[in-house]
Amino acid sequence: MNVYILGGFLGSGKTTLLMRIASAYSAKGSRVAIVVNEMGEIGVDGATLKSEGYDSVELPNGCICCSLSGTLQNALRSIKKDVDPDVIIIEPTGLALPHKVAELVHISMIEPDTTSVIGIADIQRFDDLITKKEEFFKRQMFSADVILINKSDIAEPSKMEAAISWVKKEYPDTPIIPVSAKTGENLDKFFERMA
Amino acid sequence: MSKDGDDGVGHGGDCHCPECEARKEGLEDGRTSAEMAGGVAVGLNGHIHGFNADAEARLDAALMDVGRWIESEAGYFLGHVKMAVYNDGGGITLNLIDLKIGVEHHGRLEPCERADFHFMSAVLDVDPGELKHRMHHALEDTGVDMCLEEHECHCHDHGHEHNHDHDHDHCAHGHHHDHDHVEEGATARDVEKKDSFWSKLRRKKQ
Repeated sequence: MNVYILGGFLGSGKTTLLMRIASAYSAKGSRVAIVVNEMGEIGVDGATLKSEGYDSVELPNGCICCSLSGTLQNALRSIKKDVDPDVIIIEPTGLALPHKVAELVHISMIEPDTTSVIGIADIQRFDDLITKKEEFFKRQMFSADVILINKSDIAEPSKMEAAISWVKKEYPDTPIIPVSAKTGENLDKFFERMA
Repeated sequence: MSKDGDDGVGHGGDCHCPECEARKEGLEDGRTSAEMAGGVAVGLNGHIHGFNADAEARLDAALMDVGRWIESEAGYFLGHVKMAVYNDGGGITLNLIDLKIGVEHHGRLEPCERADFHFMSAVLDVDPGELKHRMHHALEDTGVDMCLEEHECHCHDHGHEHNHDHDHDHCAHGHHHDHDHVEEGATARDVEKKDSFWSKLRRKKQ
């Protein structure tokens, strides 16, 4: 069983990427379980996924990296026991710290073969984020096994180059892939890495 | 730790290795990740009577209204304002991430008499009470016929306008908007039957 944790700021495209990953694995015949976490007591992503034909376990009203850490571990154990999927995709809130979620996966005793943190950065608001919330953004990205710079379909080439350069400087050992979760651009490179 | 942030073991002040992260978390004990980011999340639940393209456009405007308010309050808009509108026949998601780009619409929902909705904002550096208040007003200003599942007007000292004389028995909290009630004492089901989506459409055309 492989666990993927999608880490990235609010609006970076985590839900869209989640649907892409779930579809790719489902097409290969894998059993996929989805865990979606939202800060507010009212969840929207669960409804979105449902309307797109995906079933998910929703964990609203808090953050699974801190206030809902116990709830996440219980949910993972239940999923493992009841579904025993090939893949679990976890989408924390855009305000979560993915490395903490990875630690919780580890201590939940579901014993995955691999646990991967996929960092997603939004090229649209990259400059704003590193200007206004640089420290928090770095804390979200530092544990990523791969960093996807999303929304390449609407990015100016110079902006994309600058973002890649910034990320490379901060995380020289982490692979960086510019992608568009919306159009599917470059996702094949990402899926190759996952396989 | 030395003046340049080095802790004596080769890790600078900007280091994000697991050890340094753990140490930082120890220093920030008791704060959630959302608090570290200055993030707030607020949501409202409800249902819409008579969903159609016009209602969708009005809801789009409500999201933009909330987004502009966030930008004016915080000085920037980082986060998202989202709404899911759905029923058994399908659903749409309205998603505002960038005010310049506007609201993105995903999914499909045919015109229908009733659809549930979730409306939420997760953003940075605004007061959650004020944000919720603004979201209430933005919905109200749409003029869309809707009902909120919970309503807490104690956050402000004015009353929201309710264009009806009585509450539906399935929505006892009294936060309906823009109903054209047919007769005194009619049940919710009666009202829904008489005040159908198509009759509303006809009225709008007139």
